[in-house]
This record gives sequence, C-alpha cells and structure tokens, in this order.
Amino acid sequence: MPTRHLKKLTEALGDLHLTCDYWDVRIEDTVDTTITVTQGEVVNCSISPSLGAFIRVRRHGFWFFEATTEIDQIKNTLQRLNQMPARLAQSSPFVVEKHPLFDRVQHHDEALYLVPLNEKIQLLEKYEALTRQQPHIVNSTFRYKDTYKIKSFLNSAGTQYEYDFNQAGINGRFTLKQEQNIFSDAIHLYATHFKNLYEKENKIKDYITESAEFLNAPIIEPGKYRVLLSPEVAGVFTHESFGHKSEADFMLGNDEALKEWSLGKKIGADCLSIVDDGGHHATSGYCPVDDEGTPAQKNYLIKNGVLTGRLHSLETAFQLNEKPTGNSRALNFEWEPLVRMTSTYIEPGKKSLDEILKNAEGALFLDGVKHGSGLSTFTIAPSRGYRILKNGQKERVRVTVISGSVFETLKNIEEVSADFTLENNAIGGCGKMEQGPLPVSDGGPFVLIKEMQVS
Amino acid sequence: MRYDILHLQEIASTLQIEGNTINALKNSSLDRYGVRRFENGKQFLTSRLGQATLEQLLTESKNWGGPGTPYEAPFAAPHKEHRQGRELSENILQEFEEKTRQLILKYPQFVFSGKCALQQTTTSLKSNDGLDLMSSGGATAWYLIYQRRGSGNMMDGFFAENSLGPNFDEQIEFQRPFLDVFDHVAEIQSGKMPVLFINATEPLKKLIESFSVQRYYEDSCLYAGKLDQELFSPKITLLDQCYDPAQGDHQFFDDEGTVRKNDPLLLIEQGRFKSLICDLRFSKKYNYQTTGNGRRNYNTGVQVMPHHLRFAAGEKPWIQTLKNLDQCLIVSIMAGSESNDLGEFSSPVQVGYVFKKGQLVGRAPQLSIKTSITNCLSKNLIAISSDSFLPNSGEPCLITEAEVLVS
Repeated sequence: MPTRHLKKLTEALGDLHLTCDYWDVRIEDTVDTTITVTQGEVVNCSISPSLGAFIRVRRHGFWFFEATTEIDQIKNTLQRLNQMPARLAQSSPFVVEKHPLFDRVQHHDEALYLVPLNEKIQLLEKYEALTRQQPHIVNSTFRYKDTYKIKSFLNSAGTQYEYDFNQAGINGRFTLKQEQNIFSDAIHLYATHFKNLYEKENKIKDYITESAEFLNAPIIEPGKYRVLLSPEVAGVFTHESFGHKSEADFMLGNDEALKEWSLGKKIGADCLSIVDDGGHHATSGYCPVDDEGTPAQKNYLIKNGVLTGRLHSLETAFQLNEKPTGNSRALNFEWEPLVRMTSTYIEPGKKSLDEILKNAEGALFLDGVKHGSGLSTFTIAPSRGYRILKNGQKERVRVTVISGSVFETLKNIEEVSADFTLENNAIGGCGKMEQGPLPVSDGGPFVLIKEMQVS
Repeated sequence: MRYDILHLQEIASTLQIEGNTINALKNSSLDRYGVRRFENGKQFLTSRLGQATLEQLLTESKNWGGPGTPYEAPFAAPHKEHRQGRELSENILQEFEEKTRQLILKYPQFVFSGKCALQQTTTSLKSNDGLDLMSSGGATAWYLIYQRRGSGNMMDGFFAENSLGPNFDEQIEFQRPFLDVFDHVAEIQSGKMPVLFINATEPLKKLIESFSVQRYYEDSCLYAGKLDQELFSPKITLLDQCYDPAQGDHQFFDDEGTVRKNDPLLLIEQGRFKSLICDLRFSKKYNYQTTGNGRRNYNTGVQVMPHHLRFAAGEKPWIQTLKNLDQCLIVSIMAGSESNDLGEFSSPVQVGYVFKKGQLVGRAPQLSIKTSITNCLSKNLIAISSDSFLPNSGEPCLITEAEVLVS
C-alpha cells in the first residue's frame, strides 16, 4: 500500500548529470476504493492500487515524456530521454527556481484505505436505503469513492517534495416519478476523515423531501432573468466562466489573446474578486505544491473588478515571461501536467444574504449543479430553481440551463454576500483535454447578477 | 472458484502541438489487469496497473478482494477466439507534423494546438473455465483545435479523426472552407430552422437512458414501457456497434466475454423501439437476453453501456439535403447542453456555421438551440444523411428542425 518514495528517488538520482534544460520525476502511489449500491444491492466494490512515475526531460525547448510503472528504471529512462534527437533549437535558458523541501505526509495513519470495506459498504447501504422512504423514488444509485495518494517529486533544480492526499465522497443519484412527471436529482457528501461522513441521515432525508417538491413544479419560461446564485452555483460559474479562461496555455502563440487579457484591465464589477489557491487544506482542490514543484500561492485573478493574474505552469510562465503560480497539475502518473485550477472562488463581500434578498424580488434563485462547462459561452445546469417572491418567500421552478457571455456576466454582478462556502467533490471534478475528472474545489458567496439567459 | 482476467495492454506515442509549436513527444507502455473472482455466490474485484503474473493477481484478489458482492448471474459461454487487427504505420506522426506545419503557414490568423496519438492495443479476457478472447490492433486519434487570433475564445473550431489510417489531407481539405469563412458571421433570426447535428449524442441523451434494461424495467426513464411501439419517424434506425476496426474499435466482445451474434445491434428500427441493452447480471434479474453490453474498465465493476451508437445511413448525402433548404445551422460544438426529464433539450452552440441553399455562408452568431427528443426524431425530422459530416467518422448526421434563439 502507498509508501514514501522520495528517499529512494533522491538516492537513485543523486549523481545524475544530464545535458538537458530541465528534468523532473513524479511518483504517485495511490489506492482508490469504489463502491456502488443500486436499489438496495451492492453491485460494485473494488480496490484499485496503482504505482507509477511520470518522467519529463526538456531539451532545447522540446519536452520528452514517459509514463511508466517500472519505477526501478527511472534513471535509465531519464538517460534515454536525454539522448533523444533534438527537435527544436530554442537556446534561451530555461531557469527553474529551487524551492525548499516540502514534506507533509500527514494522513498515513488515517488513510481512507485503512477503513474496513465492510464499514464503507454498510454506510452506503444505509444512506441508499433512505431513498425508499420517499414513495415517488423509482431509481437510486449511491456511489462511494475514496482516494489515498502519496506524491513524491524531484527535479533538476533540486526541488523535492512529498505529500499525501486523502479524500472520500458519496454521490447519491435518484429519480422521482409521479404519473408522467419525472425529476432527477443528486446529493453529494465529502470528507477527508471517514468519520465525517457519518450522521448525514437527516441531511439526506431533507434533501430528498425537497427534491420531491419539484415533481410538480412548473418549467421556467426561457428568457433573460435576474438571478441569485448559491455559493455552489457561484463556484461553478467562477470555475467555468472565468477560471478556464485564466489558464495561460490557451494564450501561447497568441499575442492578440495576451493583449485582450492584459493585466490591469477592468473586466468586472467593483465588488468582484476571484482567487485561485491550492493551499486550502481538507478540500478537493488541495495542491500545496504543483506537479512541477512550484508551491501553492494565493493568486488573485480579478481584484475589485480588475484583471490581476493568470494561472501558469513553468512552460507558460517562461513563454509569457511571467512567474509560475503553482497550477501545473496532472490527473495521475499517466499524464503530463497541464495548467489547471485548484480551489477557485469569489471572495465574500459585506452584505448578509437577508439584505441581498430584500433587493432581489422577482429574481431566480439557483441552487445545486448537475454540470457546467465553459468555452466562448459558459453554461451551468442547476438542479433547483426558485422564483424569489415578496418577503423572501420562494416558489419552485424547473430550470434546465443558464448561460451567458463571460465578460458581460462579470460586469453584470450586482452584489456578493458575506457568506462563503467552498464546495468539494471526491467523485466528480474538472475535465480538460483528455484529463478528467481532476479534483478541484470552487465556491464563493451568494451572488446577485443583473441578467442571465435562462432556459 | 471461477475467475476471469481482463488484460489491457497499450503502447502509445503521442506528439503534441501547443500554440503553433510542436513541443512534446510522449511514450507510454502500460499493462492493466482487472480480476474478478467468483466464490460462494459472491464476486470479488481487484485490479493492478503494471505487469503481473497470474499467481500475483490471484494472490492479490484473495488479499484485497474485500467482503465481495452478491453474484448469482450466469457467465459467458466458454469460447476461444483471437482477432488480430492491422498495425499502424510509424510514419503517421511525421505526416501529422508536416501537415500541421503547412496548416500553420497557410492560416497565420489561427493558432493551432492538439495531439496525434498512435495506440497499439491488445485486450484479452481469459477465465479458468474456457473463455479465451483476444483482440489487438492499432488506432490513430488526432485532433487540432484552433483559435482565431483576437477572438478571445479558448477554441473556435476543431479537426478530429479516430481511425486506423488517418487521412490528414482529406480532413484539412474538408475544413478549409470553414476556416476561410470564419471572419464572416452569418445573419440569422431567432425562430424555428433546420439544424444539422454533427454528433447527436447530446440531444439523444434521454433516449439513450431508456435503452438501459435497468432504467427501463424500473420505470425511471422517458420511454419506459414503450418497447415495440412506434416512437419516431420510419426514417430513424439507430444501431449500437461493438466491433468496428475501421474506426479503431477492435474489441469484438464485451467485458464479460459475450460475443454478439448480430453486430450492430438494432435499437430503433424504422422508428420502432426494438431492443434494450443488457449485461449478464441484469439478464437474469429481468429475464432479458444479454446484448453484450456489459462494460467495465480494468478497475471498475460491470456497467450496462452502449458501445458506439450511430444512425443507420439515410438516403441522401447531407449536402444534397441542405441544397433543398433555404438555410441550415450546422452545430459543431455545443458544450454545456442539458436535457430535462421530459426529454426537452437545450444548449448553447459554441461553434456553429450557416449554410444557405447548400452554400456555406459564414459562422453562426452566438445562439442557443432548443428541441425535444421526440419531436426532433419525428414530426420535426428532415433527414438522416447517408454520409457523415466529418470525413471518416462513420456517423450519419441528424438534420431536424429546432428552435434557435440568437443572443
């Protein structure tokens, strides 16, 4: 089961001298457990250990990658990659800063794979059985997943790190049906200690009871609406609408994009500040050091409506002459790191939710997220919608998708509340190119937006 | 005790281009094993990444299999069959590199990023009661996404092909008119208009759910109870294809060892709901014959899933149909779509084009579309094409009328 590999790695590579610009090795030793219970029956229960390394060599600006499970052969692999024929002729020095040793293997004694499988199965069965107390539920599938991982890293600048990552979650999906009306919904639970998944019975029951109320809710008339986003929806909005656009790899070779995204430009409302920070412990976006050895930091992407930063890897920072930000992340040892988010959120404001609600009559309150995506137009499929009536009362409505243009929506933000929640997910995550789901977290306050397309 | 072992062996080389620079080459050679041990009415699942002997795998199964899950279904019948597909040419990566460089020179107003991956895959499923299935073959998967300089978008279009032997020239030639008209945004009005879906998986989501034997018999899907009923236009025939080596799908068996007698499987035949999809476990539970749709990764349990859904070819090539239409919206990318439980579908169109009388006139403005699965396959259906929109994709496209909302 997962162990530390850094000592062996430094011993094996201590005398290595290569002629390349840069090299690094990342070993990931992981155990995943997944359990699925459908309609009272355990249909899947599997444990997946994996141990492997991703090795990179940069020569004259060109990268050679190799993914391998033969971790005893890392030195030979590095030497072989160093002999590969040069494919670019870039000569400017690729300077990589050395960072102090980061050693934080802290969950080893409470790693989730140590919790007996029977205990996990019983908990999942108990929670799934709650769905049968609601008469309209015709289908339910509850899925449990936990991950324990130790990452060990060494690069040619001398940066070394070793840390572990421990998370578990339950995703309960269910479908309600009454005559011809169908409503599907899902509840998510997250913890970094197994005991924190206990005693969620009331939360699940309340959630299902509220879902059942949507069976007969009217479908919203498509159009433009003033909307109030819950912290969960605000988080997905932040991630999808703006976070992906802050990833610097999409600006490579594109001077026009850099001009449009010039730092210091006013792009959002004054009340809007967006942050990405991998340092939030006990979240699914926890990434204290990225997969190239750059420590996490609090990166302001927008501060008071002004574009103040973007997310970088070593390569994108080098190409754009900026600083790495600790955002180079890979899905697992089989993949090369890409520029990715960690924990991304809107900073809270000063007004209470009650104060905001007083000014939100007629707006749509959106809560829960089925999925979201962000390209030229971002979209979010919220699971629940409510029309805000007088005196803060709410009327349920069914909403399929909200969408909009990123820049217009950032400028349309009216208020952000003082409340703040960071949402985590141990089963889903972020997808980019072939790599997903990568654990991330996102969140924020309640956010009031002047206008969004709703359908 | 019975066991079976799914072994996936993949050797891959991938060339990467980022921001107009060919900047990385990745090699990987990985072995993955999924072990299922059946004992005393229970199933025990374990997996391993990296090479291993049979003895190691069985020892790990005993040590790590946990308490197991109930399993009382039948197993696939003993069967030995090995199929060897064609191997790939080593020159493909070099050709990808050359063609990409030519594209960059010809279209300096665009920035290209993407990958070309050559994969040689061998999949075997062996049991101790006589199952011995093996398939192998190569596949090339390549894509290039492009950004128009100054558009501010992360992606303004793409080229993509999954096949045994890619034809870069054909793909580039096909995309050339779309690159040429990119700067012209066509004028269209909100309202009902013909729409061509290059890939109809998203609008068909609620129909696809209904094929699952479990969802169907639980009465938790849109078309529950409607098997053998005529649901759509007679022009609609929908298939699930398992084995398709021309598209790089070399595996002729599902991950429980079922080899289909009739592949592709007819799900909708001339508008009539013809078949569900089923695995061995649900075949016992619902007394429905398995259709060879028990699918799993090396590290997961079996799930009922389609292999590769596609429409049966219609009568005319898509361009012939478009020539008879005043205008038609081509939906190229629609990330972020959603279907509600009534089968109503809506999505923003991230990348779209407009044809008028069969002529490409420009890029679509920012818009979203709305339709319903039942209407788009029946009263609003215009045609299923005889050919695919993208060369070599093997997927005839859906042309139907939908509500278009220009932002």
